[in-house]
Amino acid sequence: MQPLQHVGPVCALKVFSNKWLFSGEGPSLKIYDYVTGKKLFERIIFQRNKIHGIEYIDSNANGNDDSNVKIAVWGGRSLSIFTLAQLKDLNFELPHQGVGDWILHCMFEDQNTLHILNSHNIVHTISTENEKPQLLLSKNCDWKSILYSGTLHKDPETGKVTVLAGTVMNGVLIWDLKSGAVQHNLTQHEGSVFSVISSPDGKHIVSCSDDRSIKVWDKETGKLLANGWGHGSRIWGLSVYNVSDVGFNVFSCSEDCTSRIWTFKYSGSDELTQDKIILGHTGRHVWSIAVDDQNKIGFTGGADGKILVTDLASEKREGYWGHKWELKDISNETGYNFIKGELIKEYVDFGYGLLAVTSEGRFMILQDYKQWLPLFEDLRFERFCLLKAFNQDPIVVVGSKHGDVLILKFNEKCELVQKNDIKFEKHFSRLGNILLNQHNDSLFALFESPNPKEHIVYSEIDRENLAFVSEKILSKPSDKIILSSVGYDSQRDYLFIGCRFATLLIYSMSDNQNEPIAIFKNFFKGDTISSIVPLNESEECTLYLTDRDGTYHLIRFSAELEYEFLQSSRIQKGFLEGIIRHANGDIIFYGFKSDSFFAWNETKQYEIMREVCGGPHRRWLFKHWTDKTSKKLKYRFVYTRASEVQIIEMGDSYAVELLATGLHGREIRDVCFVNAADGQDEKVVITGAEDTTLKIGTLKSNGEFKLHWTYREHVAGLQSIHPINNEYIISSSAREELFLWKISNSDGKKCMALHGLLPPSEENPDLRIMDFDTIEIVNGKREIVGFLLVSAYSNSAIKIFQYTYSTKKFTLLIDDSYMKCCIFHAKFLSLNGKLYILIGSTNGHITLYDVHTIIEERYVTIGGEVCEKVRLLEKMSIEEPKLMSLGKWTINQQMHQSSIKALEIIQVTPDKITLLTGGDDNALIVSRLQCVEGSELVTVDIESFNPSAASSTITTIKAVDQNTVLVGAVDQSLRLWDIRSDLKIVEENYTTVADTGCAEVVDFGDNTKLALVGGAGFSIFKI
Amino acid sequence: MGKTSKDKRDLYYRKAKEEGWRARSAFKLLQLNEQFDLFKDVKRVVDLCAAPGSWSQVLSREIFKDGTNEDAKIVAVDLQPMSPIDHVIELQADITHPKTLEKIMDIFDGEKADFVCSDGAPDVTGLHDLDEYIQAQLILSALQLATCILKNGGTFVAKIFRGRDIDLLYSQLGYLFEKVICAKPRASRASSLEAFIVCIGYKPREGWVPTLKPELSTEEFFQDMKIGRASLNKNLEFIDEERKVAPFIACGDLNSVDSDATYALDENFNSLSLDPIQSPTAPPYKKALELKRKGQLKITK
Repeated sequence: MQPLQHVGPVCALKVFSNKWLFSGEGPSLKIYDYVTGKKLFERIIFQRNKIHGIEYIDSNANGNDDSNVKIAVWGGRSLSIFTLAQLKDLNFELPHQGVGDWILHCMFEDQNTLHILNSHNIVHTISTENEKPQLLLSKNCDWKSILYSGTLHKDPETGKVTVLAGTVMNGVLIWDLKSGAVQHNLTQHEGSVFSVISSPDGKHIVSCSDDRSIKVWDKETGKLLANGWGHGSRIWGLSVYNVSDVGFNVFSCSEDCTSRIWTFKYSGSDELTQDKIILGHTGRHVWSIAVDDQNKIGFTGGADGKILVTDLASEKREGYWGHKWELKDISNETGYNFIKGELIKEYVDFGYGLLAVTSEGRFMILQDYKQWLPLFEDLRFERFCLLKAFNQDPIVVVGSKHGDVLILKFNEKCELVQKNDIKFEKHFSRLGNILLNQHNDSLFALFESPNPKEHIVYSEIDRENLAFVSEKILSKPSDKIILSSVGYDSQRDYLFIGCRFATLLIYSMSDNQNEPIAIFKNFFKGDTISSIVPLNESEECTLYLTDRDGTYHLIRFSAELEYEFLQSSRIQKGFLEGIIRHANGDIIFYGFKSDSFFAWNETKQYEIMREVCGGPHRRWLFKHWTDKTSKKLKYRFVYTRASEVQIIEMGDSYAVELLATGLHGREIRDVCFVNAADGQDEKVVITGAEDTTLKIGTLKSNGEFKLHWTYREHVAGLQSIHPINNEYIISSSAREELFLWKISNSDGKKCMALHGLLPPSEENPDLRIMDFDTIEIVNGKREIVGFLLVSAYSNSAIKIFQYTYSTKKFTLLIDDSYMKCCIFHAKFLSLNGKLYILIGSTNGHITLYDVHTIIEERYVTIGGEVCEKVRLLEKMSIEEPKLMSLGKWTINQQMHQSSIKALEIIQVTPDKITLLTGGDDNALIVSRLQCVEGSELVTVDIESFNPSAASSTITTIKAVDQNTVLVGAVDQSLRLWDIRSDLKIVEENYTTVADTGCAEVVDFGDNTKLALVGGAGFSIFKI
Repeated sequence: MGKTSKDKRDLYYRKAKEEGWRARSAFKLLQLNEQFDLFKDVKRVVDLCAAPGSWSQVLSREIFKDGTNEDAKIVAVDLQPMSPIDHVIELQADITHPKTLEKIMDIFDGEKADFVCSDGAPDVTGLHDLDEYIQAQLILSALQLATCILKNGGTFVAKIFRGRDIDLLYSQLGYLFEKVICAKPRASRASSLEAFIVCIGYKPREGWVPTLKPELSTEEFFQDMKIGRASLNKNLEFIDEERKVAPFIACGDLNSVDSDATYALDENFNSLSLDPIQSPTAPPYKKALELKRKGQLKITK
């Protein structure tokens, strides 16, 4: 098996020459250019160990000779030392070295000398001059207890090497490498010390521990100078940068999934100030950290396999603009004498500046977003004023309560160049809302009255003379509706109006009809449709919808306006205001989360920006665009907080935002795949994890995996995911959750929507649905109409349901239970055209139930030849089903000493099945289920048995072909076994995915088979 | 998980509270004993990493059963303090320190121990390879003391996590004991990596006298013992250590409670809801929690 791809915990990061990032992703060393975001190089360094650290020394005076760059990479007990030239030379075999103990840190004293600190506080100094390294000296400070962390630091002035050691209990030991003398034993931390480093100048020590504090110490005196409190869990890593005459910054990463920026000042406070919290990793744990001090870029690597890039000096970048104005500043600049209680009521961004209006009807301009200028005063707009600006034209529409409308046009200097004053009372008595819409280079405004009886007016505005060129009356449905968003599908000429109470109206603009052609009330569970983005280029009418409550949907309408939800999910927390389809295909959301405004990349799952603005209830605007040259998303965010107007505009960024996308933030519990409807060379892969999310992506036969969407429908950690066919899959988890998903394809991505869900049996469900299986049901015309589902529970219950696609209903047919133990596996199987279910449980037994006789009133089993799927043919004239029980089992046979953790079946012939089981007892068993000739009996016989097929629990068995299986275990072994006659190992492999729990074998045809292995990470191998 | 749902999900947790055990792990030792008859003729016992004390409770109840065995002695060692248990002598000490060994030998009047056990586990970080390494170090620390104090033929039982390098430990223990078995009591969840190593018949290499020295790390102590642990070589060669799979034995009756299963509760469950026997000790992040409670911690999610 050949490793192709690996996503997993990123345990080591190192900035190289202020241009590249070296990362340790599992056993692989990867090199990224963080300005372009390109991955430059990748190579597996160790067979068994993950990379935990990377250091280098560059002896190039000036020039770029790769053989003058020496690199040390370590992880666990493994160490490898090589030059950059050797690394790049794939014919050069990288050495595998070690010092017989866990390595915490390495430091090059010079090109030929390396110091290695191990976890028993011993430093080995070696010579790297010759091909074979040579041990020169081992040093200790007479204190050999176990360490959790430690670094070596060379003083830039004196050249003295200091060992900074973090113990498992409270202590930080600082000792001199040369003399072995302990300089300080710092004991003010509580619990294990997870990181201790020196400031680059060697004057300060920074440490963190189990007590969730960061501590800064004076290196000379050992005095504790400051504490940094803020992280919500253990802190794993630290980096010091920006050292100046007044202080320095600390960048920290933690179990709480955040990284944080802190400032320490030499004089003054005994607290580190927390400047910024960076979110963007998912699940749990940000393990690794690095800083490019010259360009002020931070890097973090998480358990989610993501490498996030943080701009540590975003406010100093070219083009950045941040400012806030108190009301009195605006009064001073404009010369307006605001009266008591006068407020800035509304503002809009017309592309060159802001137009704002006060509660007294005073209009003003924020020229170039810098300088406030008065514009005019108009009492018609006091207290209530609607202000809306077009996205791409510097044209603003103003409305009063009584229907006065102003259309204003500005030039680049923010001068008002044209103004059209329209008395707009023809259609209604009062104006309640204006929504703008711009398409095909035309400008449209939608005017709405608060009176439910009055119609909506949809007018086109001439951008030259600012007059209305056309208007269309859109009648409102009789119920109370409150408009919130608008979207236009230019291909179909449909206008979509989003309203409160999750209501969507569709008007056809090409005909003369005033009534909506479709009304969808309570379209989904939610409240206000906050944005509508139609995919104009799509063949069928398709649109994105966001709901302010935090859900989003991708919906497709047929020509008859029958709809289908292709994609539904929600953000982790917060309110959604809008959606951006970025130029690179990523979907970006923005909205509010507790006290902040955020923009979030949903495709790649990271936060782009966050501004603490006080929360959602305020005046705000978010203007975004794609930078023409860099293709990066740029934005301007303006908001009012405590009557101050604040503005933030993002400047030019030095680096990309993300280097590796990663996958799940916690252990992957199951993986399944289906064939893609289009494209032979691609499979759709769905993974589910302990982090409660499901993810969908595509896998190519070369092992390339791309993540498309993430789903947060489950509230408990995933247990099992299996496909029914290429269109439908089912996922199950604790809290008795079992969801049926329909897979489709839209906006260039594979997506899923919930099709049905199995209602839990209890109001407060606490049962885990451990496993399930399905068998398809067809009607007389051989059309698929539904499926039979068997589900197995943690309380030993076994249930069989019938699901019908047309009614989206699960009907319980059989409700029974096995014994009192937890069932781990359930499978349908067919022998001689008869249907059985097979279960495997914690008591080590496999149990076979004959369900054929129970269901034969309703179904006939068809198919069952090798390679042909068994299906159930629904019998005509079916009466209402009555609840039945399974009856006595046919077989209940102990196979393993304890839990059956892995189970696979291979149909050999219609009356013969090979059964493979793997257990907590390390055993692998091949047995045969078959019908006794001329009898109704089914027997199980053990064919071969290996009591120690792994050194730990066997968690997954997958058939590669009729004779070969892939067996994965918690000891991280991945073995291919030949199951004919005696069990024989065909191939031994090893995965760095810890907590190895699930696998899948994907057949691409042409002898290309890939193995997917999930656990604390995800690996793809070619078999 | 709230108290109720934990009670519901975990029958052992509930049973432990009802029967007065300080932790559900008591059942693990009871089931190990059922299988291996560990306490037969045992006089001197050392319980390492003993807090909160559930194994000491089991040892006390089982060894001093029926008022026999009055000259038996149980020493429980932990860095943390522990509330008293009948017939158990508590020692608040570091198990790696030579002084601790001396103190135990004093209590045993110079006699060696029949049985040494450890149910200790470090706080896990979530980084599997590091956690397994630290757990292995903890077992080595316990084993180090055990080799100094066990009589020939004595028994050593310790908690293990069956991860990627557990076969190294099996192999190395094989140099020290007649029989090494990996045992999984039914009270330990199948979904957990936890198991117990039962090492029977202590037989150190002839001529080798284990001595604890403060200047030796546990690694150095065992390198001297020649049980196949990795060592430092002059040219830093990485030598693959010997690996071996220990036989697996599941303990506890198949009809006993299944720790993975969900059980229905009695109707009168609410009135029965019990508080844990022993409250947890103060965590290192106590101050961080206090600050959070006072709203002085900026934790944004």
